[in-house]
Amino acid sequence: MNVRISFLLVFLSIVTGGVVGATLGYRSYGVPKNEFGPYVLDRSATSQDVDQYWSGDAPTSESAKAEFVDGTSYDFGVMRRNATSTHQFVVKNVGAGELTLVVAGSTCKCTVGTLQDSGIGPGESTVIDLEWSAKTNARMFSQSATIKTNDPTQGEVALIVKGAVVDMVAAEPTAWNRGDIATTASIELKASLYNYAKEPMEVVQIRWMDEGFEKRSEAKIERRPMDPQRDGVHVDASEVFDLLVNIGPGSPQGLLQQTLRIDYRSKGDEENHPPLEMVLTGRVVGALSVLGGPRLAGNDSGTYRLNLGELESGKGAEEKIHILFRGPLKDVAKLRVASAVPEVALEAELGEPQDRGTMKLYPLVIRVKNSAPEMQLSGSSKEDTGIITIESDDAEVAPVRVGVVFRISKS
Amino acid sequence: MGWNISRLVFVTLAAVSVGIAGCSSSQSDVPPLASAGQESSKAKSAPTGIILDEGAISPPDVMVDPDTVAHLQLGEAESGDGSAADPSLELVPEPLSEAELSGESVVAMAVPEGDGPAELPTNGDILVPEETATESIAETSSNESEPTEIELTESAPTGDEPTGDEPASLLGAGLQTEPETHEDWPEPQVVLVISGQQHGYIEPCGCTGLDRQKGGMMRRATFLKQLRERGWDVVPMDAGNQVRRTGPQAAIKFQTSVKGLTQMGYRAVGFGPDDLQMGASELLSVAASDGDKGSLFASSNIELLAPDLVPTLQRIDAGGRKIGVTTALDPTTLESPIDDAIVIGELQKMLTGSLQQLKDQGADFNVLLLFGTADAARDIATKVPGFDLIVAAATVGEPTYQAESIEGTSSRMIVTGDKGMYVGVIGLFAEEPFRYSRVALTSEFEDAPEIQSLMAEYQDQLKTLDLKGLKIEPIAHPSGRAFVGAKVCGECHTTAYTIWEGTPHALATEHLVHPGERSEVSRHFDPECLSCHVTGWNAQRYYPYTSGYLSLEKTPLMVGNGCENCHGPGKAHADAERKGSGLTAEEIKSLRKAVTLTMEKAREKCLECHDLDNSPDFHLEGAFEEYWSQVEHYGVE
Repeated sequence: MNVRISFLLVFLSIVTGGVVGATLGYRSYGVPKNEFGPYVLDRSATSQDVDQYWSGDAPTSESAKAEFVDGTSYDFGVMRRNATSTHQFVVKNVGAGELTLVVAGSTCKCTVGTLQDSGIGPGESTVIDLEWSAKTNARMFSQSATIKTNDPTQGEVALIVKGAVVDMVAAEPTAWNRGDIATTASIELKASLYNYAKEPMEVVQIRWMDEGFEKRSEAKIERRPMDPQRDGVHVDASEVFDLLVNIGPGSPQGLLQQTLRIDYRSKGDEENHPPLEMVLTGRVVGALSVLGGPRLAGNDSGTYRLNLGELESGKGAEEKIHILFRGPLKDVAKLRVASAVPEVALEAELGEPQDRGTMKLYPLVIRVKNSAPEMQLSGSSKEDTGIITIESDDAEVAPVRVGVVFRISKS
Repeated sequence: MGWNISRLVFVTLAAVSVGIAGCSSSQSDVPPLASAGQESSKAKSAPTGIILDEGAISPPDVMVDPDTVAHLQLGEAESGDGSAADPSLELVPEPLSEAELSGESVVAMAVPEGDGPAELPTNGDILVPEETATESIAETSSNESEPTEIELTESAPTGDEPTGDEPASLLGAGLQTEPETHEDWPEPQVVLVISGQQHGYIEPCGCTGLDRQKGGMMRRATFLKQLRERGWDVVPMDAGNQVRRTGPQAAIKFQTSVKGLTQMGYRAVGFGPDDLQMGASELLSVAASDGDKGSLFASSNIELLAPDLVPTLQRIDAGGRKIGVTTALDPTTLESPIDDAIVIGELQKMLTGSLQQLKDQGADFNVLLLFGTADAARDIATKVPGFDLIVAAATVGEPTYQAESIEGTSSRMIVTGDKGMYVGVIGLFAEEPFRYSRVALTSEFEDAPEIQSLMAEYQDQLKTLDLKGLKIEPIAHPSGRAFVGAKVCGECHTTAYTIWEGTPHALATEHLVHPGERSEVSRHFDPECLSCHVTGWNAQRYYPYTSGYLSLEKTPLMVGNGCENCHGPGKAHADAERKGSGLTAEEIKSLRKAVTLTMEKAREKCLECHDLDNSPDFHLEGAFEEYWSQVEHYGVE
């Protein structure tokens, strides 16, 4: 009996021990924890997921995480030339691990990044000072300092400071670019001038540097109250003036580049400050002008040439360009193709106009007919050039002509 | 009974051990994935791949790097003497077998370079930046065509080298301290070379030495050629802003840039805000589709005159990939109003449409070249999901080492930096995500002769047009006075003149006529160079004052960066000092005062030419005193 009981107990011990051991062993080693970093291995994870993990987008629970409390960019707004300003970027460690930071570099010697603490515990914050000295002649500045971190999601962070640099007076806009301007149209220019000196500003003289332009110009300047909405970054200026300049028609066709100089001083001073100069650029064109692609040339002075190149006999060619109609008559006058010479080779078709605010836009298709004979128009003289003439039903609108050159041959 | 109980306890424990051992040994030929994951997570900073059970994760894209793969092994469950063993884990670096390398029996994952933790250099490997050379005092030019390297503080990295001063904790934390280099890549299907924000800097001028300046189209062309010589399929693209100013010179520069981009084989180009300032007609002359040739340019939201003149996107087939590219301009980057013939469409709406078109056309890798800030790029990635790569070009400084994964999207972003000093290289591979390498265009890249010819052509055009053709007319000096030239000043100010003659200021024009570097092309017809290399110009606005320099022949006395550039026009003063001038003592005194420069004003005056671009060392603490000591002069000596 004892022997049988002993055997039974031994047997039960072996079975119990084996089961317990097998269970422990299985739990420890038999079943993987089904995770790879943050991914559960139920076969739903893909290599892309793992790549993302390695790329640092899936930080572990032990990672540091840097949060730039007010962003990584700061606009100083407007600074006086040669002044120095500093901005404090606050970095908070919102992760679980120690956050390590280092200022790795800055884009110029005028920007200095200073780190108060290079190691930050979880939940703690530190400050990075970025200083900018506006010893520059540029009107706008933008500089950055690179911060390296051990946050796996942001190995590098560029902290950016930017702003505008002004002397005593700043202008908005700083220049006028008017694109195409009709010869018949007056040019109206507006700007706001901001005085950053404590003393009131006195405008001594406003003049265009070109005498002919100056003669056709009138300028008015008026002090007005500061309007935070309209004046934006300049709201800290001590004064604001509205400048209105009107230039009568009469500029010759072609490129326009004129400089307006404004002489000013602080009230009570004997000497002027260095003047403020504003440039007007554009292109003076007739009421009708032509725009197109790379094959259209010579449009600065109101003469246009379309080069259709080498053409194969019997195949014709087609090019679409645009006629721009500007000025007060654009809404009342109608355009038409007056002629296409030589008729044996050329034809042209005006499309429906599109209203584009200050202009009406007419598509113009110029065709070399399939039936055109072998010929060459090289543009060496009027007779050696094809000419498409577009005219208006209003005599006040001067017609526009597009010269066409091409060569038609068998091959 | 006690004996029996002891025996039973022993037997039970033995059975437990056997059970445990049995289970653990049954797994001994399979690396325990869970542990591997845990371990790899902790060791994330180490550049180790992990050997995984084939059945655990079977990603289709496999990359094995034999140098960076460690084998994780479980300690033997049973010791050699048959006793129960300690089932502890052991991380054993082990070389891969041929089978493993071929991916037959194991699946390995390695760290994608540039995207995650990379191999860390030991402290001994870290390159220490060279000390910044002291810039010699030299005449400088505020020349927009002259890129200058970004000057760094002493602790800053030079080029693409690590700083060497990263704290050990940072290195230990797995920070990528060096940019990834494409030199180490396996052969990609295709590489995209990304540039942008050239901003007028078509070539480095050498104001501070070509070896200290990055960027320029000549070097970029050489780099592209080198990539192609590897047999790689290269697709260059540019996010826009070739120029910075307006007027005829900017137009010529824009045309030259586009010619250069064409020669370099660019496949897609966008518009920047400064490009748009040139107006629709100028842009159309180079950007509009030209029959069968098509257009280099594309924009989703910029319409030049009419919608059909410039394409909205480019579909490029290269290396077996279908690459879709579109560009866009964030309207907030515009500082001034533009030509009303240019229409800027709403960013999100237009990009949504373009992306859909690209997908419809079967593009398998979609790129957005955005002229916008990094923040704008992140924003658009969220609003228009689906671009694989977004390039932000309205950025400052240097591009980052890594492509940024934009949170909450599948898009990754790179930035161009400014002045065309770097290009980004994106490698597309069949079975892994793209890789990114930034490349600094240093003097290590030789000048490409074909682009050098283009630059010579550019200077020739400036020469042919002359100042008048460039619409640059002399303007009266604000003082109303005229220039006389340094030689006349030297008639009385003998010591000051002798000192001046001994400085590079006196040879400023000569250095344009016969440049020390890139000497094949003279620059004395380039207003952007002339403004600081002659006498009597507005240094920062690139125009001559009346009686200032016009040409070597017309105004020989105005060569060199003369006295009057700092002191103001001196003709009235010089005339007044001559016998028989007829002026009163008071008037003579007043004219003397007008050309007297205080030290305080001199500090500001020097900056007109010694600006950040052309004389960065002048902006160091104490630099003025050092520079001043080399030109120091006082009154009539």
